[in-house]
Amino acid sequence: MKISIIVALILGLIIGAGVVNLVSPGSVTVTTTVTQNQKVSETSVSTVVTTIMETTTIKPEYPLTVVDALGRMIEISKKPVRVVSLSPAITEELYALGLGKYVVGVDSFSDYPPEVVKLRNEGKIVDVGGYWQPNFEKIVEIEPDLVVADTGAHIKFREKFSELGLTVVYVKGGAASSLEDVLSDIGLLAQIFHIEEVAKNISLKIKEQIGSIERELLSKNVSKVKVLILLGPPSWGYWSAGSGTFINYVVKVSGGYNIASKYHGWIKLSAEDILLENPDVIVVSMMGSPGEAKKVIDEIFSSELSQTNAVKKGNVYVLIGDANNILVRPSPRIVEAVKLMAQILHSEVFGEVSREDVIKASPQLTSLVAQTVYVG
Amino acid sequence: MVCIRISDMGFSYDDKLFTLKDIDLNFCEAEVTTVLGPNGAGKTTLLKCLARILKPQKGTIYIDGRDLWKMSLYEAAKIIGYSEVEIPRGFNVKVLDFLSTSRYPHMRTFLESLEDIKAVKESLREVGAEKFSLRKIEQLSSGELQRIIIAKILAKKPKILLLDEPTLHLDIKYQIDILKKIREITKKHKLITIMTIHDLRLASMFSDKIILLKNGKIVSIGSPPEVLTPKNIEETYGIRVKVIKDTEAGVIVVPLP
Amino acid sequence: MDYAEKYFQEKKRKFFLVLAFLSVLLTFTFIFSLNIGSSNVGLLEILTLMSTSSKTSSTLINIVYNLRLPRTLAAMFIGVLLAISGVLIQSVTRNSLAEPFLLGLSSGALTFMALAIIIVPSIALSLHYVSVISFIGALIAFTLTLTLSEAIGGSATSLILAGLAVTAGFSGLSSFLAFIVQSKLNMPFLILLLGSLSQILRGHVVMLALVSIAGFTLALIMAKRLNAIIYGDEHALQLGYNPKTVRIFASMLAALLTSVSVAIAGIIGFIGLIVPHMSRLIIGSDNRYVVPLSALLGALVLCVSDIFVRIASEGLAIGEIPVGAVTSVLGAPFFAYLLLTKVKA
Repeated sequence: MKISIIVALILGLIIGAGVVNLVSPGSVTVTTTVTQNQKVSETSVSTVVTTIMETTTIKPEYPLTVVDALGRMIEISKKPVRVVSLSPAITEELYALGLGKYVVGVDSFSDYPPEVVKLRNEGKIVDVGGYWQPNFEKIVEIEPDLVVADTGAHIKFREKFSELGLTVVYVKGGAASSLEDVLSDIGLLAQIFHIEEVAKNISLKIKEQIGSIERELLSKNVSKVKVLILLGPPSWGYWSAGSGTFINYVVKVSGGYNIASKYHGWIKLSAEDILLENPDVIVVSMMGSPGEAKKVIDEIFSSELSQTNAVKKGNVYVLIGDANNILVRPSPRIVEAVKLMAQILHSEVFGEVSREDVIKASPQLTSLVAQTVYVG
Repeated sequence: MVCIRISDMGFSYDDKLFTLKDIDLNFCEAEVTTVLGPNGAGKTTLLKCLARILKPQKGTIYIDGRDLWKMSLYEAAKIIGYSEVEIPRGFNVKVLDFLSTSRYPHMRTFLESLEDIKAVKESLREVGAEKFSLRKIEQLSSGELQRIIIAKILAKKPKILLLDEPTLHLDIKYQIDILKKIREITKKHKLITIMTIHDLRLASMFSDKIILLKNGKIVSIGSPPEVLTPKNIEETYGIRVKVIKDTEAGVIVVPLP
Repeated sequence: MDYAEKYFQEKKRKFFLVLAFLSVLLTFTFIFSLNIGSSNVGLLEILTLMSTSSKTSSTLINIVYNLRLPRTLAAMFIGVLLAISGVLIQSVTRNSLAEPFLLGLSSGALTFMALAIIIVPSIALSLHYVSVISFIGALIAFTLTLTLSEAIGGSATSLILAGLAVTAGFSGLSSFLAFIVQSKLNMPFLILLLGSLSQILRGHVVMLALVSIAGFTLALIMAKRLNAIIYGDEHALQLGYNPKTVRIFASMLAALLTSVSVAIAGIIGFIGLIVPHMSRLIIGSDNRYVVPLSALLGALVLCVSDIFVRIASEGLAIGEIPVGAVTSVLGAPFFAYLLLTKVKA
C-alpha cells in the first residue's frame, strides 16, 4: 500500500509539473516557425516592400504588421520613437536609414556612426550592455517602443523579451548568409517606419557599387585568390566563417575563394585543413592595437602557418579597429568590406590597401622567413 | 503470556545450501535462551529469522500463535528488538538521538512525547550508561557502544529480545554486568530473550536454556548442564573437553589437548 | 534526572529560534535582492508607485516583477531543492560527504538533456519533457555510482571515489555535448555547465515552487524513516520500516529535485553538501529538524550567492558570472576540509 502511495505521489508530481507547464505562458511559442525555411520570410518581406511602393491609395499607416527574420508576425501599433538597437550592425542600419533620431539605446559595441559614441558618452543614448548579454533592466528602464535584436546572438532571449512585454523585431544580423539577407534587414527596418523608398535607394546603391567591383574583376579576368579568414588572433584557435555566412559572401564577391567554405557556419579550422588548402592570402580580423596586430603577424610567421603561400609571399593582413568592424558587421557598410577585401585580394586591379587599421606583414619579415624556409 | 514456536523451519541464503534445517523450537516467556555453536553454525541466521529480517524458505515462526510473516513489519517491530546496528560516521549523532529512534514504532506524535523520553532514560539506566547519554555515538568505545545497543532494544520495550553477541568487546566485569542485567530484565518484564554468545561458561551461568547448533541443525536443547556434555561438545566443536559442574560458577568446560 | 527531557526540549527550542532567525534573514535577503539591479529601482519606490498608474511606474514594476522577482524566487526554490536533495542522499548512502553533484546526478542529468536536445531539438521547448529526461539521467548516474562503489569495496570512501569518477565522466560528456548543442543548434547550453540563474522565466518559477514544496513536504514526512536507515538495514527493519523502499523512494526524490534544478538552471554544486552540514552543526542530525532547516538555509545560501553574482557582474562588467562557479569556489575548499576531518578518522 505504501508503494502505491509513493508511485501516485511521483506521478502526481510529474503530471502536475506538466499541467503547470502547459498552462504557463511562453513555453510553446515560436520555434516551429524558425525551423521553417527562412527564405519564406525573405520573399514575403520583399514582396510587401514592393507592394507598398506600388499602391497609391491612402490608408492608415499604423497599426502595421511585419514579418521579422524569425518568421514571426509583429504588430507595430504606431510609429516607434524610442528604439533600442542590440548590435552594432543594427545601429549602423538605423542611422543609414536616417532613423538615428529615434535611437535611445544601443549596445556597448556600437560605434558607427561616430555620433553614436558621442551621444552615449553624453548619456543621451543609453548603453544597454554587451552584444552577447544585453542588460534587460536597462532596456526596460528606458521604455523603448521597439527593440531590434540579432538572430545570431539574441534568439535565446525571445521568451524573456515577451515576458517583459517588449516589442521586439529580429533581423538576420549575424545569421545573414548573403547580401540579400543584409538588404532584407535594412528593408525590414525601413518597412517599420514606412520609409521603404530610402531602403530601396540604399539597396540599389550597394548593389551598384558591389556590381561594379564584380564587373571590374570579371573584365580583368582575374583568377580567384585563396583566402583564409581568421576571426580573432590565432591563439584563440583558427576560427573562421564557412559557407552560409555573410563574410563568405564578401570573400566570394571580391574575387576570392574562402578556404573555410567547405564547412557551414561559424567553425574552427584545424592547422591541417589550412595547410592542405594552402591559402594565398591570410586575413585576420580582430580587435586590438597596431602593436598587437604586429604581434599576431609575428605569431603567424613563426607558426605552422608559415608553410602557406600566404606567409611565403607576405600576404598576411590584420584588420583592426574600424576595418575589423566593417568586415564582421552585417551592415550597410558591407560595401566597404567588399571594397577592402577586393583591394587586399586583387591589389593589381584596385591598388594596394593603405589604411591605418590594416596592418600588412612587412617585406623584411617576409624575406626573413623565405630565407629560413629555403635554408631549412 | 508470550511464546515463540518455530515449526520445521529451514533457511537458505542462496536456495542451494541450507544454512538452517529442520528447526523445531519453543521459547517461553521469562526465559533466557542462548544459542551456541561453532562459527558458521547458523546462530546469527537463526536470530535474523526470528527478527523478521530473513524469511525462511520452509516452515513457520509463530509468535503467540500468529505467523510472524503474516504480521506487518510495523506490528512485528513493536514486539521484537534486534541488536544489530551500523554506526554511520560524520553525522555527529548523540546517544540520546540514536536511542530515540527506537521509539519510532511506538511514537504517536511527530516528535518524542514525554513517555518516549522516559523510556529512553530508563533504558540508559538499566544498562548503566546514563553518564554518556550526551556523548557522540562515534566516540564511544566498543564496550560503551555495546551497552548502548542493548539500551536501544530496551527503549523499544519489546516482548522479545534478540541479542547477537551482546558481550563482544566487553571486559569481564561488563560482560557479567550485562548478562546479569539481561537476565534481570527478562525475568522482571517476562520477556523472551534469545542470544548468541561464544563463552560457554558465561552462557551456562546466565541462561535458562541452551540450544546447540551445528551446520544448521539442532544438536541438543535443554538446560546448561543437560546440553553441555563432553559428548555433545565434541560432536559440535570437534574438540575433546572435560566438564566441571559447579553450581555457583555454572558449567566449566575445559578443552583437553 | 530530567537531563533527557531537557535535551529534547532545548533542541526543540533551539530549532524554532534558529528557524525564526533564518526566516527573518531570508525575508531581508529577499527584499534586498529585489532592490539590486542596474536600474535605480528600490522596493519602497515600487510600493509607493503601485498606487499610481502612470506608464513610468508600470515600467519600474515590470523590472522588479519580471526580472528581479522571478530570479530571486528561483534562487530560493533551487536552494531548497538542492539542500533537500543533499539531505536525502546523505541519509540514503549513510555518508555525510555525499551530495547530488559529487555523486554524478547533476552531470548525468545535464548529459542526458544535451543528448535529448541533439536528437530531438524541439524537445528543448518543453520544460516538462526536459525535466523527465533530466530525471532519467540523474537516476542513471546515481545507479552507476552506487554500482561502481559496491564494486570497489562498498565503503564510505568507495562511494566518494565512485561518485567523483562518474561526475568526471559525465562532466566531460556533457561539456562535449553542450558544445554541440550551442554551436550547431544555436541554443544557449554552455552556461548550464556552471549553472546560471540569468535565463529564468516566470514559467520556471511556478514549476520550481511546486516541486520544491512537494519535495520538502515528502522529505519531512520521511524524516523518521531517514533517521532510521542511517543505522543500517537491520535497525530500520526492526523499527518497522522497509529500508529498500525508503532508499528507493528517497533516491528517486533526490534525483527528481536535482534534475528539475539542473533542467532550469544547470549544474550548481555543493549546496547539497554544505547546507545539510551546516544544519547538522547547528541542530544535530535529527532529520526532522535538519530537513526544514536545510530548506531555509539552502534558499538563503543560493539567494545570497546569486546576489553576489549580480553585484559582481555589474561591477566587473565582464558579463554574467555563473552562480555555479561561486558555489564551487566556496564548496570545493569546504569539501576538502570535510575530507581531511572525516575521512582520516
